[in-house]
Amino acid sequence: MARTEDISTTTMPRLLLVLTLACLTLRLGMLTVGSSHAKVSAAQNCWTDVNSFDPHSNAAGRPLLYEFRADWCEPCRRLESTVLTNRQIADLIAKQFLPVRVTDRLKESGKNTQLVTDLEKRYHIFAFPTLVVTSPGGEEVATLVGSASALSTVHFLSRAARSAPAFNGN
Amino acid sequence: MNKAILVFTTMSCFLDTIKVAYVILLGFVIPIGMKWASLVHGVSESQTFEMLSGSVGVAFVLTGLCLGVAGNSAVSSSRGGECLPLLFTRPVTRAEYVLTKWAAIALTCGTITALQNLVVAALGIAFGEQWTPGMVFGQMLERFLDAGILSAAFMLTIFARHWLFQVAAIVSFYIWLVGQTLPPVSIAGPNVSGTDEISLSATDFLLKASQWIGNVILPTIHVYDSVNAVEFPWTSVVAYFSTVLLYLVCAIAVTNKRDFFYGTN
Repeated sequence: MARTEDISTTTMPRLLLVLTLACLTLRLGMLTVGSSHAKVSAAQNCWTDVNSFDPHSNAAGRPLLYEFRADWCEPCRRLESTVLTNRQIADLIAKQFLPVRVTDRLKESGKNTQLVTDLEKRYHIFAFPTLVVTSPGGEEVATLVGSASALSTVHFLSRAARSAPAFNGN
Repeated sequence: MNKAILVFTTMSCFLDTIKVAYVILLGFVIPIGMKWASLVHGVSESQTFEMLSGSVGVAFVLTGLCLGVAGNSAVSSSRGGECLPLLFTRPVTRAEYVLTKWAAIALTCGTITALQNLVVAALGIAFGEQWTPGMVFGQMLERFLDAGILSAAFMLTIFARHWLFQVAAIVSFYIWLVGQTLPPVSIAGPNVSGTDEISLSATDFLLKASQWIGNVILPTIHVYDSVNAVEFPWTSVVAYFSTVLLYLVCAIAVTNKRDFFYGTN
């Protein structure tokens, strides 16, 4: 037998213990430093604010992509910094959609502009962030609620882009 | 790693026909059926489907695999458990036993769910969805990572037999499960009152609790997102590995403290 009888069967592997303590310390350290995903890169410059959006600018008849968000919403910041900045998603949005950002200010200002209120009512927005794809005429094609992963979002957008022209009767 | 325990545990996963039927149903028939139906009918991405083919799918498959694998069937004479007394005549440390069992369960569950994701991706490609090799690989790796953390949590829950801990673990698991139906969100909070306000507040509370549990107790790494992110999310990587290691160390510690006799269940 390779091992002797006096080996204790209840020993804790030291390497495992050290690794666990090191990882936990690092995690606690990172928690105190805080997350930095609030930074939004310039890759999202193709987005237009709803209040300055001119429907006549959609000469190509691309489907509209609304992002319903709020400044205080943490998942919205996560969506913007990790999903919408993904190169594949940013390219897909720039080529296939007319992206419009709708920022809810109910919590900060106590009220929204009439346009924002109407859009939230029309597309039944109950949570932020919500991505809504509509035909150029405004008919809802697909909705994705929450800060989904980039993989889910790219599939959602590619399928919605395919569905939009058929829905619109083009 | 102990080869005998590895083989024994992997075989135990498939000894029970009811368990295998459950794994096939929740691991393959329902998610693949839903994907096929959504592609054929051209409906938008179903979030319930996302849930079943993501980490919740792993949890469902694991529940089937773990019931009777980590604990009961190891000592049950009708399921090959009669080998265990013989196994323990060898000088196997309890740490070796726990770690090998965890590896066997995580690898088995990871393989099952990665295979399911591969079928889902193949269906998507056949119906013209945008899939790159990186996406397929990332999604499959993610299933192994999910299997790793969930099986470590399951093992700890099964080995740590204090009723209070088990109740807390099961409640946390169900709150996490409920929250997985939606990705992280903030409730819009329109001006409502009465029952609507209570309903919204309750939903908000449940979602926040679920997100907290998801971040602290069961953190995940989105492989494709991480690789393509502007800044690599080291925080989630550290959170993931620290949690897995903590669960394993705790599982070994509680197993070391227990007394085992023939006939222990």
